[in-house]
Formats: sequence, C-alpha cells, structure tokens
Amino acid sequence: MVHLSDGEKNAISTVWGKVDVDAVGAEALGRLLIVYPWTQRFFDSFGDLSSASAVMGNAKVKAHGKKVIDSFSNGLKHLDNLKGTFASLSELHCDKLHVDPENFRLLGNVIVIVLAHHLGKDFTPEAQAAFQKVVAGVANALAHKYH
Amino acid sequence: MVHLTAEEKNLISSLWGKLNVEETGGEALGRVLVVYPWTQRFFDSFGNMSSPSAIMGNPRVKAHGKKVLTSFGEAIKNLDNLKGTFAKLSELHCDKLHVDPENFKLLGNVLVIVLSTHFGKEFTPEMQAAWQKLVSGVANALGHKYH
Repeated sequence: MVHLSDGEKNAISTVWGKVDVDAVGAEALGRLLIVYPWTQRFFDSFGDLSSASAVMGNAKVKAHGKKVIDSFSNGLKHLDNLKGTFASLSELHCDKLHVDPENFRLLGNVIVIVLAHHLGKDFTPEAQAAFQKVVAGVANALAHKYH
Repeated sequence: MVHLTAEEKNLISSLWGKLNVEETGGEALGRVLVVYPWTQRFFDSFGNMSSPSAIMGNPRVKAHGKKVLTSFGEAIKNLDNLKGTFAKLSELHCDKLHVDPENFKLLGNVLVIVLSTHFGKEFTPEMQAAWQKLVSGVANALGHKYH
C-alpha cells in the first residue's frame, strides 16, 4: 500500500490530467530500451530497435508503451491495493515473461523522467515525491508474486 | 571506468555548458531532501526544512547543492578516472559523513530528473542515456573507498 498525503494525491491527479498519457507510455518504454539496452531482449518480436530513432519511432514500442501505461493508470485508481491490482501481471512477468523485477524500478524511474520532461517546472518537487512513491509501490506490487 | 562513446561525451559536455551550476545543483539537492526525506538527517545544521518550499528556498541547501554539482563538473573533465577523482570525497563520505552510498544513486537520478525538467527538446533519449551512465559512474566512484 502506498501512503500518500492529500497534497500528494492532488499532485498526482493534476500531473496525470495534464499529460498525454499514451505519449508518456510510448516515450517511457522507448527511453527504457535506449537507456538500458539489455531490456531490448524482452522485445525480440518488435522489429527494428537498432538506433534511438528506430526505437522511438517503432510502432510496436508505442503500442506496448500504451498498454503498460494503461495498466499504470489503473494502478493510480487503486493505490490502496496495488498488490491485489497487479497480482496477475506479477505472475505473468515471473512465470511467462521471466522479467527481472529490477526492470520495474528502472521503468518507474524512466516514467518519472518523462513526466519531468513533459511538464518542466510544473513537475514540482511535491509531484516528483508523490510519483516516486507510486512507481516504487507499483514496482513492488509487480514483484510481489515472484518466486 | 565509465565507458562513454565520443558522441556521449559530446552530449554531456554540451549540456554541461548550458546549465547553471548554482541553480541546478540547488534544485537537485533540494529535490533529494523533499523526495527522500530521510536524507535530511545529514543536514541538521541547515535550518528550516519543514516543507518543500522551505527546503527549495533554503539558502544553505542552494549553496551546498552548488558545491556538490561543482564537484560533478570535475567528473566531466576526468571521465576516464572517476575513481581517482572522487577518492578523497569517497573517504570523506564514508569516514566522516557516514552517508550510505545508496544515496549517491538517488542524487544521481534526481539530477537526471532536474535536467529533464530544464532541457526540453535537448534532453533526448541519447542525452538521457549518456547522463544516466555518468551519474552511475560517479555514484560508483563515491562508493569505491567505503569499508
């Protein structure tokens, strides 16, 4: 469970209301694949990932980024029960996808960086603190069913 | 040793040339204190840190942030020898300041976030990748003399 003050909850809704969520998802996944290139191994079927511009322009990366951020958005509506919300996805990532949970933390940090990028000064220290807590909570929830 | 391509070194220097060390340093340190409040324990003598605005406006936070980022500037001139460059600071942070090295990673990540808020188009995925490598290298160098 993520413990957020009212101020932090407001900051999250404000930020999320100001950004193009799909664009954030696509950009975050793309940047993850570029900044941490080993993550590309999970996306062999995605086609051309041979350069930063290929990655950022790749239609499958964008589509998958949207899928991931939709799931994240859902998490934002269930901050009191992230472990329950992400239980099935946690099992999937462990049993079928074999993704090291460290990668969830990396993606979470990249989401924060993309939000900062899109919002500039509007990404206040309070908003950053709130989102940093949320991404940590989501990463933990996704790792929770690992065995 | 941080392995940066020539292109990555150019990207890093070009952004370094454009940033205001005092402002960026102050903001990065301030955000660390807001987002990871336990870090305030290292700065007991800094006065009012009772709220995000108190922290971000605190002149001692700004001054210390400038000092920290200036030291980062040394890293940029010595990318092939970060461990040597930061040897004394590493000993200081271990023996006198007793700072958990995990905090260096946190500061590095916050610096990347601050750069992301300040530099819109210029903060490309390649720029992010280069800086992420740099902040990891600096964090490792600062942890290197720990015992």
